[in-house]
Amino acid sequence: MNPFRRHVSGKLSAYAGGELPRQEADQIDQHLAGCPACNAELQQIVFGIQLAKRIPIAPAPDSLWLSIREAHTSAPGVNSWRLASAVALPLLIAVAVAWYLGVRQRLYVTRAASQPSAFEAVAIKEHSRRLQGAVNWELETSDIARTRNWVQATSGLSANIPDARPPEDLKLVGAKLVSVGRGAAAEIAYEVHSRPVTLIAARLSDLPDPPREGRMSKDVTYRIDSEFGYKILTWGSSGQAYVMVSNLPGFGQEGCFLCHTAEARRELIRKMNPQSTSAR
Amino acid sequence: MAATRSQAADLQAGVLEACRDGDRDAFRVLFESCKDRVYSIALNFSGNEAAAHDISQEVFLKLFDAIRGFRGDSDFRTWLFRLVVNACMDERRSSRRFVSIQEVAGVTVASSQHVGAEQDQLATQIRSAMLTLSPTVRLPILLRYAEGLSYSEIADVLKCSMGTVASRLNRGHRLLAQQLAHLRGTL
Repeated sequence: MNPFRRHVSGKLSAYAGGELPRQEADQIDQHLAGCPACNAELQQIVFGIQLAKRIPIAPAPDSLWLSIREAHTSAPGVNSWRLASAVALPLLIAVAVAWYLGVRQRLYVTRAASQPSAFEAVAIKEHSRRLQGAVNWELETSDIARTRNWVQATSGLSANIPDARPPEDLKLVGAKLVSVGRGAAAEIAYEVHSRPVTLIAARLSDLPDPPREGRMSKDVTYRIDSEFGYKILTWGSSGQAYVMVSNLPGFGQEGCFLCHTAEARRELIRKMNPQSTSAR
Repeated sequence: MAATRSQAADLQAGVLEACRDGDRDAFRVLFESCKDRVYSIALNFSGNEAAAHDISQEVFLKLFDAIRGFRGDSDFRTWLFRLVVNACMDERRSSRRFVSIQEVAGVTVASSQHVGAEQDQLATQIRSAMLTLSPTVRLPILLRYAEGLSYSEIADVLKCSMGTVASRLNRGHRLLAQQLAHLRGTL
């Protein structure tokens, strides 16, 4: 079969538009020279192309930019990635720091060589009074959220006591304000394994002899009260000073479970050794 | 000429780079440089000024949001027209149930730029004829004649073969010629 006899109507647009390779265009030239049907078809195609070339070009209305600008500023837009990264990065860092401080932060427990500070003396006194039943709680509840909110509202101190915690965990008893140094401190009473624990939180800046505040580690001072044999842990963190008094086993570190609920962190706390620095 | 094209390419690259950095002035420059092309395709595709406005707005919002991810692996023009084509098809899908009165009546809106009554009438007739083509034929016709894209570029934009482009254009040319046969000899 002579290839030039095959109709070429399917290629006529490309032919007319100069889109065919030279050799193929030449073959179509030869076919058209002897094919009236394809010639008629080509005339139709060329006319269609002439019409298509007259498709009107319409200038965009001025209102288009205004509406785009409006829509762009009212919805997450071009700079959303910047905003997202501006928000996400600090958030990521905060989460990482929170995780580190909550789970992996180094703990250093050192035995105190000096006499108890005024802050510790208040805690010893309060714990003794509690054991004698001589304390009137301003808030008497085992509800964690209520205690947390009360401390925040009355003292302005933060009591980061998590709601979610293992079952059969420690039990809150009550809270009250005590005067320490230049300001008010919050005393929180609770029980671990039915043994009383007294925690007092104060602002570091209110104390005449504040504990050292570790930035990337928690530096805990441990002492045993010479009069009653109480175990006393003292530390500073995030602008607040804490002192915890108890008769819990070891050196009373399970009292820390009030705020530390993650098992990994609790395991670390259990293994703390006041004889030396306790690393992670 | 080559130097001019190179300068234009450099300018476009600079504008695109600034856009990627979030420069709002650069967005405006980019918008001004392609707004008429985008709007024209949208209007000739939809035959409706309101729809064309919506399509164009959608294209530029997507463009501004996605430009940071545009690395120049493909030609900017191809990338832009892909956005236009997608927006046109999206608009058609969303408005399929609501056929415009102009489309039913076979009458399209006239361009707001009136040059002359005859030209205006011709433009209206061509636009009306365009609306009778299926979208898959209408789009390659618009890319070819409103934008001057080659078969190869159209194939890139529409993500199909050059053979498919050739076939669709062939059909479009024939249909336009049939629809507007009464204009033969007047162009």
